Amino acid sequence: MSEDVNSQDVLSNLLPGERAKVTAIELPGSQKGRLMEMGLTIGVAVEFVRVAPLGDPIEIKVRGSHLSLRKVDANEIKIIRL
Amino acid sequence: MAKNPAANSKETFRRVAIAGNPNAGKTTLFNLLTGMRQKVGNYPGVTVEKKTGRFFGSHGEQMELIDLPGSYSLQVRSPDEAVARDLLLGRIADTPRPDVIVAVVDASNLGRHLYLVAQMLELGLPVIVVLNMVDMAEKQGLVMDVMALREKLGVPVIPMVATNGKGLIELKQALSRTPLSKPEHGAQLPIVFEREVVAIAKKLPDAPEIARAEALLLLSLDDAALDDSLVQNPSLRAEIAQAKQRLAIGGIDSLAAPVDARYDWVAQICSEVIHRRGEDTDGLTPSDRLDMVLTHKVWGWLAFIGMMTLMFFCIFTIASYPMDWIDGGMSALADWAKTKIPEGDLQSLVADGIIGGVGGVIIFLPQILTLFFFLGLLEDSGYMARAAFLMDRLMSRVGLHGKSFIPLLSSFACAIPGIMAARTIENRKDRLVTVLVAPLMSCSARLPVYILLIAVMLPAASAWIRAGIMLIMYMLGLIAAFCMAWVFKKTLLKSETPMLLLELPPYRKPVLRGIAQRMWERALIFLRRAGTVILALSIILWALLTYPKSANPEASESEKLEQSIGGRMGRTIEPVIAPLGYDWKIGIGLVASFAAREVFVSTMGQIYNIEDADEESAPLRENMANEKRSDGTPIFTPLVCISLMVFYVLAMQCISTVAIVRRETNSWGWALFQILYMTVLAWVGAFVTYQGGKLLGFQ
Amino acid sequence: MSETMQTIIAGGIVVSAVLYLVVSAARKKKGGCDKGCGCGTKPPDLKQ
Repeated sequence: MSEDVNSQDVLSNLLPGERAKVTAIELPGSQKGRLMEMGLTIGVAVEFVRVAPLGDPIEIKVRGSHLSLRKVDANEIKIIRL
Repeated sequence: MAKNPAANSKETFRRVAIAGNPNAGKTTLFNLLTGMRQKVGNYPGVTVEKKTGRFFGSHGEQMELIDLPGSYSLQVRSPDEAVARDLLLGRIADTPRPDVIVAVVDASNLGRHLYLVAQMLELGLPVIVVLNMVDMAEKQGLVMDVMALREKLGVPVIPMVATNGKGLIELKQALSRTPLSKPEHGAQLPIVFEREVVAIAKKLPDAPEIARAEALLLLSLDDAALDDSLVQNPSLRAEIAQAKQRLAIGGIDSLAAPVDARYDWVAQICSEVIHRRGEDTDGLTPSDRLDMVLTHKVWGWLAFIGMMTLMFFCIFTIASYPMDWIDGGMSALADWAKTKIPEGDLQSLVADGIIGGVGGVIIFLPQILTLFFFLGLLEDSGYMARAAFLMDRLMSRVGLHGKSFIPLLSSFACAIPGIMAARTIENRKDRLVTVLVAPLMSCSARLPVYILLIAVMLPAASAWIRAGIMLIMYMLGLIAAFCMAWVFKKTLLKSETPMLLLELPPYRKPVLRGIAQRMWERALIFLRRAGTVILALSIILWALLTYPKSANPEASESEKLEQSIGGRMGRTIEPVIAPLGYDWKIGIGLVASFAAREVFVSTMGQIYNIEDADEESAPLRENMANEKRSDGTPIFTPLVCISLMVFYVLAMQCISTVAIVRRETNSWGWALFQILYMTVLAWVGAFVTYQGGKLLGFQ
Repeated sequence: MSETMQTIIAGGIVVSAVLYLVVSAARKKKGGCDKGCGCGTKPPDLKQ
């Protein structure tokens, strides 16, 4: 299957252990700002760690630290798998 | 050779500010430097505590230390976040700009921690970086090239292990050095961006370096927040809007540009300064392995519930020894008072009112300390974040924040800091919901009430059963909080659920000394409250229960009680509480505990000891267990005890909380609403419990 | 100590208690956790 760069794959689609690169963050300014300040910038590599026992939120590894965010927000973070 | 003039003077030689990410070990370092010489105060208008302290430099100079709230960035999106920035820019009244910043970073996580350092370097103040927790980094096989880091950052870098004091001497030496040099390096911003920053800086009234720092922050702030914070300054707002537009046309995202620039710089430094020794393992740290269990679908929940149960179990067993000891002491004290003061009002006031009232509350000190001990362990070890991680889905279902769980969890100690911490929730409606439901989380003041009632109803039960019942009461409070939050979000306070962005820090061995220090502080605070507010309330209560006196000198104790103001108040509300299974004496207790919940115990102590004035003071619980109604059946049956506990779970009985809610919401309306809804909820809850229990055959 | 004496002293103590509460309530206007509430917990760090 060809790599469709515009495939709109999102962070919440990843499975535990998979790695990806962030291509876009489509959230309102203040939320986007917080995410970026915590290290989730455009072009950064992330690793999907797990989903919480109740199904939400998810845990990812970014720049060496573990962050947790909800699927509804992770859905707006576009990635391409590595 | 002249002696350093500052060495023996009492004047402050230097002002030091400590900054860093949460979990970097800032607080440990603060305590390490200041020991007991610290104090907590307030910044006007915000919830953030002002924590300051003193320490001595290498040459004995007096230094002042101020602890900045832990944050990931200097950017400001709420009044609380403005504190750190304002302090560093010298904007806070009565607090001069610090002379030097100590930036604490976690050596195992430089990739993110250095971001804040990058911002610190933009402020024009001398910076000293503390590379903390180097021992943990070593264990993970990371090798730091400290010299290279020093060179690249352009500021002193001190490796430390704050928990055992390693590196403290070098830090003090660095702090004592004269003069301190200002940073020379920093992240490179795109030239176009830099130009706009300079232009905006010129328009600000502050000194050049401060203006630049401020301009940088403003230019990288999102529109909504800019509208908020610059509402008083529309021309500046317009300038910034234009600047952002120009940048956008040039292809630069003003939000992202500085953040990217800093992280690029940080990433480059890290790649050159951090080396991994030996083979790259599968990357799983011991902390990761622990998480595989503690956030597991099944084990995670078991662990969570297990920990809560263990906590309550310890409260009942370990703490009971000192508790009984204090109880014995109080009884002995009361008896001694009776020998020293002849019979009369004063004797009664001292023995029953004061010693009985205050003593009845103080005996719970061991239990409360045990609670705080566990909360301290959970916080320091990093487990609290996992609790939020587990609970977030439930919280967001109800419209609350996963992060609300932590303030709500600390409401288990006292709702007041929980309510104040709700300020970090930006959305006004969500904040209000959190504030309204926080008191439903059983606070430590309810603990004496639960313990007393459980002991009355099940004198012979094992500690497990008692812990179990207590756990149920706590769960009840939790469930009630969730349900009410859901109700509020659906009706009065509809709004969007806020975004969750939570860090799960690596697990850490809790520093027992830090926890012990906090427990000691709490003990002092508890005793102070007992010695002041509770003492005053006990005295007034005694008066309400003693006056007016019955005209008949042969009247029984019970009749004398009825004549008093307190007794009459109890009688008055008796019809309202009878369906809940209570009598007028319990009614007195309910009325009295409106001010503070623990007063219920003092009240019961006074009522049932008054009855027993002639004999040796029998344990309160026995007296209560033996108490009978007019028809001969016992009053404090298990059902009544549970009904009473349910009432206490749900009712608003704390003047201090009401005061804080009024202050936080800036109106009496919400505070009164809270009293109202909780009282109704408590009555209904107790009613259902009691009547429902009777239907099921209990009495 | 006569009974009346006792009542007087007791009364005085009661009045002081009332005054104390009134005065401290009036002073409670400012300050956050003014440490009169007996909790003493620190608010959690921001941005967590």
